[in-house]
Amino acid sequence: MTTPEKVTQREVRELLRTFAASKWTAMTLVVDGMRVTVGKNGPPSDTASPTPAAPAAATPAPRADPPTATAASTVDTPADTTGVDTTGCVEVRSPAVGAFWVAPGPGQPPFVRVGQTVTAHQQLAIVEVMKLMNPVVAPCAGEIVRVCAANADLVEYDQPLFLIRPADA
Amino acid sequence: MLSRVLVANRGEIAVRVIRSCRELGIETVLATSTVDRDGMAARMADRAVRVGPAPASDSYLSIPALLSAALGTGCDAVHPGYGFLAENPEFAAACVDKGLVFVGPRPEAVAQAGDKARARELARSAGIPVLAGSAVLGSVDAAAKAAVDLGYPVLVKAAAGGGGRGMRVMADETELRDGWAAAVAEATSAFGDGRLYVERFVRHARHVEVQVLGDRHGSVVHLGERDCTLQRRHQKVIEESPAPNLPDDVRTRIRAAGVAFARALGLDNAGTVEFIHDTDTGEFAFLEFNARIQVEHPVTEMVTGVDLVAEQLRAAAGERLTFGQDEIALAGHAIEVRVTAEDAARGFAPTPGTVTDWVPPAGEGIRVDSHCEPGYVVTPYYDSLLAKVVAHGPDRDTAADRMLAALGALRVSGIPTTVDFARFVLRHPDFRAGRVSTDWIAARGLLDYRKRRP
Repeated sequence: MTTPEKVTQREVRELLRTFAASKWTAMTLVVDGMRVTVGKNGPPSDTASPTPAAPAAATPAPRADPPTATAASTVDTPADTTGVDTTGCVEVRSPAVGAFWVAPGPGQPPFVRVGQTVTAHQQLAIVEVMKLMNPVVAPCAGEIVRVCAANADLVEYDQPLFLIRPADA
Repeated sequence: MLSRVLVANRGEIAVRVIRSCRELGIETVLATSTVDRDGMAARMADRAVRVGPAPASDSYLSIPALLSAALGTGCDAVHPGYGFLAENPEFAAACVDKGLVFVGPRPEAVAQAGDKARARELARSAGIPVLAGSAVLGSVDAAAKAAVDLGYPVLVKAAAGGGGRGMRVMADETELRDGWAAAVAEATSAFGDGRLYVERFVRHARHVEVQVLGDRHGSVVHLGERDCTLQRRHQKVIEESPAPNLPDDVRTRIRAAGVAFARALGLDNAGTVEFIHDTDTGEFAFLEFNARIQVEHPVTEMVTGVDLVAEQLRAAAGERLTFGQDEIALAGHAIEVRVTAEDAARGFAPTPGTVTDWVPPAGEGIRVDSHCEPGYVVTPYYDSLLAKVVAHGPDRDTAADRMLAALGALRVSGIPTTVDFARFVLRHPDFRAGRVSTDWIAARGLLDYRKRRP
């Protein structure tokens, strides 16, 4: 992919991030001669018939809630290879850079498991920053759909750690 | 040698440090805030780790976050760059405590140099002239008494200040008494330390600093001096090496004083000894010591051919300096212009925004240290430095002419920058004659600049 002169790599990355955070399943973007098609569940079905879109216009797939401007997501969200539909899920992000612990202590059972239902503010994990234990809590009630990092990993600030399907969705 | 270095900084100095690490075969991990995660330095580093949000207090100034990132990624050393935590003795000590090599002078030296009163005392004990001044003052009455002894105008300085911040000129006792409380408040909010002292104010001063380099085996050398006289509100604008129009005996004595201070401190890495040169009396005096790589280090590199960041890394790893004083020769003249996102015509007001076009200049003797690229966003969170353009030539005039050509070829759009002002200064007869003092921009340069604008 060549980046056209009028669009910066930074802007392309930002668009992809916004897409990743949105509820869209696919997107085709044509800007200044550059065409980008992305899909969350493999290639979108209609990519075989490329219809030129208006410049600088995103063409969302049919079921589309507009991406929210405030959603500052990341492209490092693991690709959905499990076949689990993560549409509508809420990301729980790391409050700090540090070690990710899924259990209160070594040898103890994890705070939560995939499939488990949690309440709002329930503790999900710990991010340890130089011996300081920062709790990771659920922003809302719901079901744990995915744990996005492995126990003892170094996680970055703002990195997605869990996906939760909100109970009221 | 070091194997993996955490670069605890951003912008052009992060790019600069990564470049030297690459040449030495050292891996790099860049600590970034969320806004810098796609920046040039993040793409150049072997790995980038987000350590916090945009505000520096929660990212580039967070000691636990930086240590956590360094240890979690298997780094064996930390390079602090300049600014942020570069001269924070607690950070240096915390790194050492965790088994990380701190790329800079040992923590005790950082602490001693950072306390202005202790640094002045060390200079005095090493036989280096120190500007007449008081001890730390407990009250405005004590300050008024000290000021009478020194003679007005006086400079009121924060004991914990540095880098040109926390200083005020007081013309007479009324000004001193009226401004004292505000100076205490300013020092408290800027440095968390409201202690003040007064110093003799030098009206026609030049800022001359000596680059020194030491290792852990007792060797100390100097790499000549830099002239950083062109300043606005104590922030350097144009720097050069060697210092122009400095009498030979003064040049020799200033360099020797720089080495004497570094020896007294037991310097085991790179540092800079700053002096003030009074052009009315011809005398010079110790100002402060900087235990870090300086923004303006490239002018020294251009005239000496020494990679100062590489020397920092080698010295931190415990290696010996590979050259002695006799092997250092200064060739030609180098000038650096700091290109910042500021509007000179509006009193150097910062101009945040997006750089839409950016093409740095190239050419004989030209070097550009920058993290800027099309799409780069100047945020209000950090300083406004976009690039350092450095020009080297066989003599000062050639270097200045090359700089003018380079700045003319630099293409930048989207935000106002200081390029036009720098070109104006480089053409000014006062600069060409090497006849400026530290107040030149405020007293003359900016006025002349505004006059010539339509």
